[in-house]
Amino acid sequence: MRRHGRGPELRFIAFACLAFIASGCANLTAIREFASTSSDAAQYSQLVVAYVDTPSRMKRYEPESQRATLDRQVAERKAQQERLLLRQKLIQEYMDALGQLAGDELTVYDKELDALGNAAKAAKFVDQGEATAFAAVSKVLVLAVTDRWRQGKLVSLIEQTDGPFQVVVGALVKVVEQEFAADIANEREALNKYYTGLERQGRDAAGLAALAEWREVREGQIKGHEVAIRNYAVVLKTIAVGHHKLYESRHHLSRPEVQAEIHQYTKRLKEAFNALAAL
Amino acid sequence: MPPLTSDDALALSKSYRDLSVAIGDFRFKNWNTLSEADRKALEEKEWALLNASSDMVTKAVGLTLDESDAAAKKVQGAAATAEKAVKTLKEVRKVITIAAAAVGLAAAIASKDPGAIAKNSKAVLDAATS
Repeated sequence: MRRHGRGPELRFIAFACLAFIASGCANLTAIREFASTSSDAAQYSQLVVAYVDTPSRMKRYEPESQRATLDRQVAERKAQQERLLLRQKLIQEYMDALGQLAGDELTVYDKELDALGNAAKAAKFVDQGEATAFAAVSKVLVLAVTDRWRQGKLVSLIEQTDGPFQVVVGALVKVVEQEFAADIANEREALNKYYTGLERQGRDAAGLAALAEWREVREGQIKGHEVAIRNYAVVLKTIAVGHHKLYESRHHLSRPEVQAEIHQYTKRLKEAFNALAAL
Repeated sequence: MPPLTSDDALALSKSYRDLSVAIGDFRFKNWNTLSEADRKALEEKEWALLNASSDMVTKAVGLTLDESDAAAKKVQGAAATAEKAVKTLKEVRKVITIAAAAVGLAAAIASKDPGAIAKNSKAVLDAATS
């Protein structure tokens, strides 16, 4: 009876397999998973928000005489926020599209693609090479949507974008690893000046003990921020290396050894992303 | 003059931070022998330099960098010389003079005035080597 009971189920699986083979689609599950994890991890925006808010946090430590300077810095950094997030948005949208094509789905039109395209035209990048790369990736994304690309165009997508994609991700890695790190080093020094000054002036033992506890709390927050910077840099670098692996293996994407290797990148991404989420 | 690059801005940021740290170390090390007024004067310069460092980080991150070149290497050289001098000096007047010159240099860079940058770089070097 049991055997008879499983008949329809087995027939369904056999039919699904036949349909899959007949459609000419390869099973690119590992690539879909890599793309989806990359998309999720890339959109971690807390570091950008923290960078923009640094001058506001510095007000805790700095004397009133520096207030006007800090207010100006707040305004300048707020003006940078949207364009900083744009790089992350591009990586996220691109990885979404890559995952959809790997799953033989139509890439979903997102209104933000227009915004990305316009921003690519309007934004003045420090590096003209990055501006060109940003525009190139967003152009391919728009093309994938408007020309209704499917899995057959996956190789083309990877081929056309790997070069500019590496430039865009590389630029973001530099911002995170060097510039956000420099920013947090300044905050650490501000904390040091503030608390060391108070400790030098303090006479009351209980007050000094409370001060030491506060200092420890603030230092812990900065340390968490530094760990986040390191982990997000790992996320970005893993996305870049994984994508380049896809580019190198683009004609053999369905091979088990390629899928196994891509799976390793996904695993590394998840580890770094989970560490970020735990902060 | 070539434009200030992101790497230049980042290097200047580090120079300002290092100088601010060195002046702070001097203030804390000599806390008991410094007058209240001297401590305050030094501290004001430290914050001004640390904020100048943050300004350079903003420039490094910024997507538009069209400022004229600050002769970045020369400025970094002046800041490094000042930092080295602050680390070895014992005389608070000299440290305050160097700090004031360094703050002037940071302001000159913010004003994007090549003449003022050159003049203030020289002032920092003079203060640090006199």
